[in-house]
Amino acid sequence: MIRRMLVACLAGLAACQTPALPPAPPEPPSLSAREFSMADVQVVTSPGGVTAWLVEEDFVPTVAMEFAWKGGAAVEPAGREGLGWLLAYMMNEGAGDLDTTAYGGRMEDLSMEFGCRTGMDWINCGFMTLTATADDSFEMMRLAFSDLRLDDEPFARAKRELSVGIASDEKQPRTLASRAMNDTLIPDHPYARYPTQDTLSAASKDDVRQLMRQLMTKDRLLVVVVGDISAEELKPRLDQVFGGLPQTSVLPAMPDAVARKAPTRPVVKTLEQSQTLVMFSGPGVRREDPDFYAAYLLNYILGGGGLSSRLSDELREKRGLTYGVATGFSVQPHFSRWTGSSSTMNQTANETMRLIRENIERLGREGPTEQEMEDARAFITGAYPLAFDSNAKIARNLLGFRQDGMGVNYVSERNAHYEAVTLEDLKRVAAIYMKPENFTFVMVGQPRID
Amino acid sequence: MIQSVVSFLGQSDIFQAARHSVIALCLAVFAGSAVAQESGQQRPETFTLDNGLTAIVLRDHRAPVVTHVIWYRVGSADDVTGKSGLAHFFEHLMFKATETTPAGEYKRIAARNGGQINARTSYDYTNYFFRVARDRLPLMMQLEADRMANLVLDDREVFAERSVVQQERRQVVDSNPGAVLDEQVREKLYAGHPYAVPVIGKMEEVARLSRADALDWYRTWYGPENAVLVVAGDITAHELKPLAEATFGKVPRRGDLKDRNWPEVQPLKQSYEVAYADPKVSQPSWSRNWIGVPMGHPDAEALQVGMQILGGRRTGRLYRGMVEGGRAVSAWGYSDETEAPGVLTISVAPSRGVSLEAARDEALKIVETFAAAGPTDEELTRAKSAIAASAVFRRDNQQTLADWYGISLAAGVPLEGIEAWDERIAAVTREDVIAAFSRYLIGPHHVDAKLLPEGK
Repeated sequence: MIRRMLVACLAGLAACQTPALPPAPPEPPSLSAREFSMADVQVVTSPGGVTAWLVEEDFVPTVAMEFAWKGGAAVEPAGREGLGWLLAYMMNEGAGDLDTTAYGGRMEDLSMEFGCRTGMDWINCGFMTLTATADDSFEMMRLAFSDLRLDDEPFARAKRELSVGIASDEKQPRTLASRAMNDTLIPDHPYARYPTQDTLSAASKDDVRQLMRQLMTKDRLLVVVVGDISAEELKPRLDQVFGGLPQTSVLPAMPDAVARKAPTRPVVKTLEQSQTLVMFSGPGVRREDPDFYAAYLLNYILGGGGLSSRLSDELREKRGLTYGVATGFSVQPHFSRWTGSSSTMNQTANETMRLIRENIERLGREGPTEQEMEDARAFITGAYPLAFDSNAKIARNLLGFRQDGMGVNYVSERNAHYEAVTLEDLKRVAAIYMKPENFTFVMVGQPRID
Repeated sequence: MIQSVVSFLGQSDIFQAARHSVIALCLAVFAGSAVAQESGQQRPETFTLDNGLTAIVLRDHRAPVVTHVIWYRVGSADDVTGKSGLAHFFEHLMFKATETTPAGEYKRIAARNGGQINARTSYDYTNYFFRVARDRLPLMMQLEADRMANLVLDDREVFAERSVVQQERRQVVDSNPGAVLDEQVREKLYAGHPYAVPVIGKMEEVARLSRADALDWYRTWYGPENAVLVVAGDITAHELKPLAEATFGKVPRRGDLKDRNWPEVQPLKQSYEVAYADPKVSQPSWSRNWIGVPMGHPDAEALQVGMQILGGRRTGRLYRGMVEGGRAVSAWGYSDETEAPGVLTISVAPSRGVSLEAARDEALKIVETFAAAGPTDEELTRAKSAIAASAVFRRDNQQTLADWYGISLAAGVPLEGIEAWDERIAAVTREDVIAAFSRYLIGPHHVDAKLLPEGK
């Protein structure tokens, strides 16, 4: 009975509220919707040519800035993996006359947060400060980008930390699974590289400076500022902070990664624990592909909707096989994948994999229902304002749009892309991508495989 | 610390490319106090319904979005003996059916309306939250009030969800050596008190939890008089009150709300050392844990300020003395406040070539020096301004702000007490820090914990 009801819910939600149920309580008073433009974005260009997206907002007396350079760990020279991590670590460890202690203390005195991180394809930095200390805080960033110190003590400390990270990565199920996936699919591509104790030992300060000159250039910089600052106040700050950077540099050419054929059996990495991490990866959609929006809706239906997805219903709700299952996109400039994962007991790893394969196959064969499409669309468009309710979130999300190559109009047009997708689009895209034979499965743990 | 809060839906960071691992440095945590009131900043508005439900409104009209959190004053510390994990298990079951809404509908309706949902259980409280566009708030409040009054549980659903919780325990605790060790620490530190038992429960006891246990729990604790509602975002008390009356206001009092009969936390009669070795540990670490203070305690701010100076990231004394000196790869301390006395912790992970014992001794020397002489004027000023700034940054995020008020209110700290927090921080002196550290860290017994790679 319960099972039938759940299936009925998936097939058509309206039909679920059967007349057999007692009448619902009276409606509470309504609250008006409010016209909202998500974010009022100004495009600001400094005299020195740095362009930023700016949202002025004075509700909280703070200024948030998120910025990124295209180019990341993938361009590290072979044998020097880890350089990007070291560079990001060193960005707030001393500059100009301020050694690490003085720089850290000054950041704290200014109530300023500033730090960078290096991903495979980007270096991202985040900055947050109080309006009252903004002038001095911008000056601190100028020092970092124009006169970074790279003193012995923090450099040695950074290496110690990364060394510990490298050692612990070798015992982390998620890292082991990602590496096994890359080794299976794209063993020769720079995306499959990672730092080791040897590459870390080889990394020198000169290497870090060289990478900084290569990656942090004006022409590949994207900036978003949100907070209590005007366009006229911001313009000179942009030149102050970034004016000393080189205009451009030459990055090594990066080939597109071509995935090898998916093996028919799962790749198993043994790790002593009671659970198995099941990770899977199939061909994905490039961000600039017109089918991206249909694929995004389809992913919500398969496993992207948190608690509201086919895989969550099948694995968590109906069978209690897992605490969670989720799917998503890994969209990189040179490799796009449809990925997912779930943790389950060692003895149910095989059943979990089988159910995931079956659900992928069924979604590809039948496509989603009209109701599923409408539910996915309602969430994805309805939750959009939630991305704009804090300065820090607005800054992160707008930078994400810029990194995706979107123009400023995308902020207001984003939902229309999802509104335009039809059920035929979804069925067509499902038939292309939802092929279980194209998905590679990796298991980390002690799975029992038939 | 790791499993002090357990969520209905795990944090999903699965798709971050696992390129580098960054060592997690634990920031000093300041749980359960209040936000600095800037001049011109609106004070929270409050009202109480006839059935005893207390509501607080935190206005932020930047986006037409609201964050709605309902806190029940019941947590794992109220778990019945032999039924550990019941508070958390019940939290999962709140997402099942009501008399008018089939199982799974709550989350589906929330999703169809662009809402984000989750729930959390801690030792002290259970809360349920959603974030949604403001015009969908009435609908969501209707569902929230409905499940406060009309939950219906079915055996099959209860059993399937129990299996989910067991999976959660395997994933979050059993596969995580640090979490396993943390359970052992609390078992010693809080012997005889329910804080000794993990929020998620012991596996063998979770395995026996039943539908009858859950319904009993529901009838006992889930009345409006035991709830605090915090709504942050694009709404006023003038708008919220009629909504609350039309939804939660229709739910009758349970009428026979029990007192939380927790025993007193007993001072330790001796010090203990616990150790856990696991092949998944690559970096050994050591920590010392003391019993601290409850929320609202007069010594709370001195401990917070002191722990920021001693154990804060980057400029803290432990960090500067040990990590910058090359003796450790991490070193931190924090003061955690809960409704009953919380935990004071310092922790250090030695560099390669430094023994755990040597790192311990050096860390303790730093603690003793600090407790004896206290902070310098510069340190004191810096720590206070950092804490004051964190209160400004907190106002940028509805969820963070709602938690800030909700955790304290649910623990019984009055609103005035929360609002006076910044003044109490500003009033902390060097002598206060010395007195608090001598009282809570230097004199009393403690529990030491060692996390070790297997084979050592």
